[in-house]
Amino acid sequence: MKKINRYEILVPVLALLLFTGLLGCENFLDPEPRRNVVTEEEVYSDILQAERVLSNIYSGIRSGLSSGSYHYCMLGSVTDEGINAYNWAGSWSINSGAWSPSNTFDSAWSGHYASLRKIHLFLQNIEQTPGDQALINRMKAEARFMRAYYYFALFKRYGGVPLITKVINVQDDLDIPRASAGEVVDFIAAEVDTVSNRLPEQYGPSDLGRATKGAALALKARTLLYWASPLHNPSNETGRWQAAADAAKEVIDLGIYELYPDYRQLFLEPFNREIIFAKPDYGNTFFGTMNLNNRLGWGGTNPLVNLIEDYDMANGKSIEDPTSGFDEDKPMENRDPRLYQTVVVPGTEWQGYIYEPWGVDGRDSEAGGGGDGTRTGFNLKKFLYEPDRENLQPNSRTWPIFRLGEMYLNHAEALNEAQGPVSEVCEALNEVRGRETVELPPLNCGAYTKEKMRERIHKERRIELAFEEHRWFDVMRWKKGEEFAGDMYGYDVTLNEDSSITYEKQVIQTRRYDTPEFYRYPIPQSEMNINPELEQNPGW
Amino acid sequence: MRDILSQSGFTKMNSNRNYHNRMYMKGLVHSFRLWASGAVLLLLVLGGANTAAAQTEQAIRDSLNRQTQKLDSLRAQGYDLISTQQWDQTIALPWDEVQEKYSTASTASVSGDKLGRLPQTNLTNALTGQLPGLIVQQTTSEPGFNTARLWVRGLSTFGNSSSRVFVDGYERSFHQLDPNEIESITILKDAAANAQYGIMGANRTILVRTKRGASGGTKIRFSTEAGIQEPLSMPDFLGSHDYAVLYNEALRNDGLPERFDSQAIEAYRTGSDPLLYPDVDWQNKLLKNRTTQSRHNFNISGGNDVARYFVSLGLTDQQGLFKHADLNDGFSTASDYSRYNFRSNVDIDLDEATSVTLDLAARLEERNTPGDFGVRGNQNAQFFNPIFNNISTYPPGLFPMRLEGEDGETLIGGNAQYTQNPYGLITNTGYVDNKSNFFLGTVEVNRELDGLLEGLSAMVGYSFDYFHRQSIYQRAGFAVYQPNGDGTVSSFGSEDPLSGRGQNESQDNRSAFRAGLNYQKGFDNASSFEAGLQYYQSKLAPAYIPDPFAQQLLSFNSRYVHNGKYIGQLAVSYSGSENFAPGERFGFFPVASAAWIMSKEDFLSENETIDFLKLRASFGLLGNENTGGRRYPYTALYDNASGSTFGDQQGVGGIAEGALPNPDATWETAKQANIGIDLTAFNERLNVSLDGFFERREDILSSISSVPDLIGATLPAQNVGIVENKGVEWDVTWSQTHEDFNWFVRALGSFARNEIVYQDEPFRENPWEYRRGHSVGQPFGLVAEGFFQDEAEIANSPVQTFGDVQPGDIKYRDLDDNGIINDRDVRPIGNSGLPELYYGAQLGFEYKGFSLSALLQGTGSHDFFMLNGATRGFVNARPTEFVMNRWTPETAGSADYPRLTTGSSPNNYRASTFWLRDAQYLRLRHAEIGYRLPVEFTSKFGVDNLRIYVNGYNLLTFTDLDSVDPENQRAGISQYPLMRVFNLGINIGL
Repeated sequence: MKKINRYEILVPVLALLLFTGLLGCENFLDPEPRRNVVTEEEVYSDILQAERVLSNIYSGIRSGLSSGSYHYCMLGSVTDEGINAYNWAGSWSINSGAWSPSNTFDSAWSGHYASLRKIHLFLQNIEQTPGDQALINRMKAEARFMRAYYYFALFKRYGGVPLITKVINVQDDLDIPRASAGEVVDFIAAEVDTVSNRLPEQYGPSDLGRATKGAALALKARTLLYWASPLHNPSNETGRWQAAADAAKEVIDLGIYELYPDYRQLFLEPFNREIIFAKPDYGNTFFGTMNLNNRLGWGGTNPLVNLIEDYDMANGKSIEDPTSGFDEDKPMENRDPRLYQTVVVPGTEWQGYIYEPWGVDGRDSEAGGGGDGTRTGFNLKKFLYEPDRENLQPNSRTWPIFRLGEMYLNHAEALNEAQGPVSEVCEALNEVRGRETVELPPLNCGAYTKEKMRERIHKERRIELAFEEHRWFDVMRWKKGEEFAGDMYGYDVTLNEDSSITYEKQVIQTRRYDTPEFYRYPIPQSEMNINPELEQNPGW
Repeated sequence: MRDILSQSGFTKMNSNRNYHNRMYMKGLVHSFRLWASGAVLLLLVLGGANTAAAQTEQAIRDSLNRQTQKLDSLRAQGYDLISTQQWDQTIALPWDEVQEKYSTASTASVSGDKLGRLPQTNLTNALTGQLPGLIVQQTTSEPGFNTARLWVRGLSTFGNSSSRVFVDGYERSFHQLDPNEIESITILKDAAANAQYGIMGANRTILVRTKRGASGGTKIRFSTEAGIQEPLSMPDFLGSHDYAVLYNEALRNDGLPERFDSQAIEAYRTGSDPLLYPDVDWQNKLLKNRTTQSRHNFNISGGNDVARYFVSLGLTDQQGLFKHADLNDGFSTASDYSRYNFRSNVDIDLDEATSVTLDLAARLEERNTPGDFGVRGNQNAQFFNPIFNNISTYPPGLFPMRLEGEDGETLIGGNAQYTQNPYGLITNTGYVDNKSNFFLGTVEVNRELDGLLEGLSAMVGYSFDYFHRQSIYQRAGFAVYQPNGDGTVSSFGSEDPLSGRGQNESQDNRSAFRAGLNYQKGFDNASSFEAGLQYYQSKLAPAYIPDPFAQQLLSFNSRYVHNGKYIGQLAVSYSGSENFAPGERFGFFPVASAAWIMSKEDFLSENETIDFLKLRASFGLLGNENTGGRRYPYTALYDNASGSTFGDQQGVGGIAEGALPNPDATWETAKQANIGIDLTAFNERLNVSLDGFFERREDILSSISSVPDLIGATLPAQNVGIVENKGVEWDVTWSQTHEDFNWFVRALGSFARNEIVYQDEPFRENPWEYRRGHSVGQPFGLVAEGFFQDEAEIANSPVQTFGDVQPGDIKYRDLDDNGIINDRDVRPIGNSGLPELYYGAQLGFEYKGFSLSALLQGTGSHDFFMLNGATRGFVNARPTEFVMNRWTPETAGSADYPRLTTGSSPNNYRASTFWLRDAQYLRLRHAEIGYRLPVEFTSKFGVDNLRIYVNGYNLLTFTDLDSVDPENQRAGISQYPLMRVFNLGINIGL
């Protein structure tokens, strides 16, 4: 009898192993669930997850303090407020006139439509979420406010845009034409009217930064102001101005907000009582690094002499007024107190030492003199903490989107256009000018024509709202493009042997601003190419 | 006061010299220790072997046995220089062992012994110029981070192009293996060779086989070598006098006042005040001129009828370049690397039909770096190295490297702008000590099943690999000090004392299972049939990634040889990846190939010139499941996204809809065709192997841009990209053997060119902006038209929108004629970034035990933009001779460099034809002189083989580029340099 080799047993064992191995491998490639991803259904069956969606929707708000919006520069550096020390910053390209449908300024078009889709997905699904109905209603109102806000962000750039109010998908007809600017404005106003009564007037400390009734009304006020402005209101219908004035008044009359007495601290104290809506920017040390002067940072934003000259004297008179007391040898003395709270002035104390933007020896030397010196003789102070706080992490900076001061100015501007320089116009302006740390002499409306008052208000906006991303859009809606074109000035600052300081005005940049096309953003060429229904803005 | 300080500075420098001597001594001692330990080990082995030989008859027989196997042994150890093609040897594919003469596939192979001759600590760098069709780019010699980049047959996709590596049949990395444990490395080039890999075969495969024991006597081999490395092509930066003069000029160009007055310039020139006006040679002060490396290996192999074994232990050590690495108590801040390789490969025959293999391997790697390096998990090359960057960009004259404080303490120099003094980075940032442990285990069972069916056999195998990495670190920070000239100093930054010990850990594991059935049948008249069925599955669970990567392959392979002349082969792989939708995970990948051994035909069989001639052809379909981008592209999921902060809260984390799903997402498909010819002629003196290939890669995942942004969603990538790649490879050897004089020459190389046939690109305004129609990695840039000579020329030229423009700046061509120079004027310029031509040449001869060999390697048809820390003037850079002929109003006519500036000058320092350089080079990679002691002599001591040698690596470089390395222009500037190696070693075989 043949002896059985005991290893013969390996054959069936191997076969079995192979067989079971193959069977067991049937699901070998099935992915195991990932911990950080969930399906849409799972998201909306949990109110906490839905809150995270809403948090993501809020995150689409652009902060003027973040680096990403305009390629490392503040929007103010594109305007006659400032210049960025770095010639690779995004502003330089635009200032040279290289703005076109294929070289867009920012990614506002795609960015805001992405945010709108998120809102529509949220509104479509939130109904199925179990939870406190009052909370869900508030969240819906917040989402709808954000939708109106993002449509305003599109409107102020492009005018009319495709008005999408629900989720659209790849298989839908995506050749969507632009709605008229009026339709977009009507949509914003109607939405804001609806949600303003569903939003709370105020939140507890842990929810500051969410949409409030005041934010909704302020959004309406600014939207109507833009809609009444010359760019959109060529026939100057005064009814629009009156509606804008009323809307601003409604915010003021809420009585929730009051002017913050300290103009400088207004931009450092988070959610102070003047703030209507703001985006927290906590812990963003990048803004300080980018904009602090040479000794401490990269000295990014350099206020232009064009702006400096528009600050009146402390007695309220323009520096061009021979009776103003302006001394050309000491141009930095006795000016509107807001100047010293907005920009760092040569020879003054800042961050614990004297700011010295001169020569190559000064610690805050001129551009090229070693590091990141200033091109204009000035550095930014607004929004920047003194060092103890700037280095403290996280800081508690917020980016103001709506504040009461703007509402007074909106009210004054709209009312002057609607009714002329009535006393209420000056009352509104004097509120802002009389702020405890500003205390400029009150204006007397009787002394102004409507046109003079318009100029006064435009200047007041320029000063009060400097570097808050108003100037760029104000000039567009006023159609005053000449302000952005041509020579921009800085000072060559010299420290003399007798410790006096000499300021020599010089052209530091000559800018191009093409009208009328620059009054509206170009629709990206990539969109024009694939959507035959889109109409490009005039001039582009 | 100043005098006193400067005097003390001199004292300091003197003590530095002592210090460097001390460091050099330490290096010597270290090397000596390694040598000594090697020698002791050798003595032990010799003693043990001799004693054993004297004691038993068995051992004597073994010893005799060894004598008779001498020649085999020598060949196996790679000491035989003659590299004749052995058509009877086999090519071992993972499941398919085929006699090379019957192979229909295109492959190339090199032995581990040959690779071991190149004094490199990382195996990838030893592959350079060894295999036709393999491009190797060495980018740095940074210890422990010097893995070269590899491409088999160039680029065939703009997606992931990396080849898979299999070691002994299982997917594993090979670059840190000891060459002494490697039998061979083979690249599988065409569809026939990669057929069994199906969905993972398109990017081609690198196969590594480790050594196994053979029955017969015990072979003991010991090798030790030690070498000196020295940096290649370090740029020569200008000293502080030139720096100051040029800086003033740059300031004047920028319309700014000069920074250095005539007194300062004079002080720089005379060097009279090394404290306030120093001339710091950062390279010399911080980098050693040379440092050491060493490799040692001890292995034993052998076996009998029942069991065979190969056991190897290797030690590799590579020292870093930094001086001052020993200033801290308790830790070093050198950039060192050491590695232990251990392997035991055992085969046991359970009976005449059953065998079991058990392979165990382990590896310990230790990398020690200064703390500022951060914890670098990925151990591939091409790292930005802050220390080298600052050595290359910090000014020589603004502050001393270090100075003495009021209490005699050492202060680190710097100022407000320059706070990261590289001396401080080396000495005062703590350290990172990274230990990586690898364990690799394989068990396989083979069984012949002749009882079931004559010629049938089966195998199963399982492998488990485990990797564990641990970084221990302590960090510190330092302030820098600037002398004020009055005896006081200003400080910048803060001194942060050494932190407590921190620790990072991560672990990966991979398990794989494979099984196979094989059937072979021979017929009369040299015909045979073979067929195989194979199964393979692999799961990789990498650190930090929750979902494992998994693949499953089932493949069938059959081959028929007719009359020893005609070979036909058919293979089908049914394979899948976890990355795709259920039901869409698996694909069929068929490959057909054939060969015709013409030399067996009647009309050639009598030919005396031609010994062997074979024509090959293959065609097939393969896939690439490693598509890159988002995993599971078929799923619609919400993923973590940016959130917002409300009030005083920490923030509410956001969650958002992910990319839209693409339920049809699938692998890249590759249609690959290959024809080849193998020839041996003139009594086997001439060996020629030629290949031509064509590949069309389709379904490359590419983002699409035909849907308006209005949709607001992130669109999924679609399988729309197409790339074509074609090329030729050659490998020609002439070798001759005489009585005691042998020699050979070999030329090999490849030329491959690819083209993006389709890629869904965003709309581009001008036809020249499109990437399609050009190769993957085609450089794009502006067309430079010289320098602006004056303001009038600027005014009359198109507006350049990259910042300020002045006379002396680069003028660009307005391609679209719209009066504006911007990104729309960027067009393809120059050749591909990856060398299209890559070649090697080898030669060698031996005479009575003396041998001489050399390996040259070169490239052609590739360009890069010469923009680095040695060429950008003052812009994140430091001037070298490169800038000397810069534009000034006086030199306007003859300048070859734009005006100097202290700004960032984005107009000048951007990709354009101005900076484009031909990067081709030819390198003497390796040369070796060796002497093998006569066997008659050494055998008296029981030694079969004793060989000593000196060799070198990266000995000579021929290139049109001055001052930068052609393989990596940032090496030695912002990255660790490449090194030249001089090496001395000894091999002993018992």
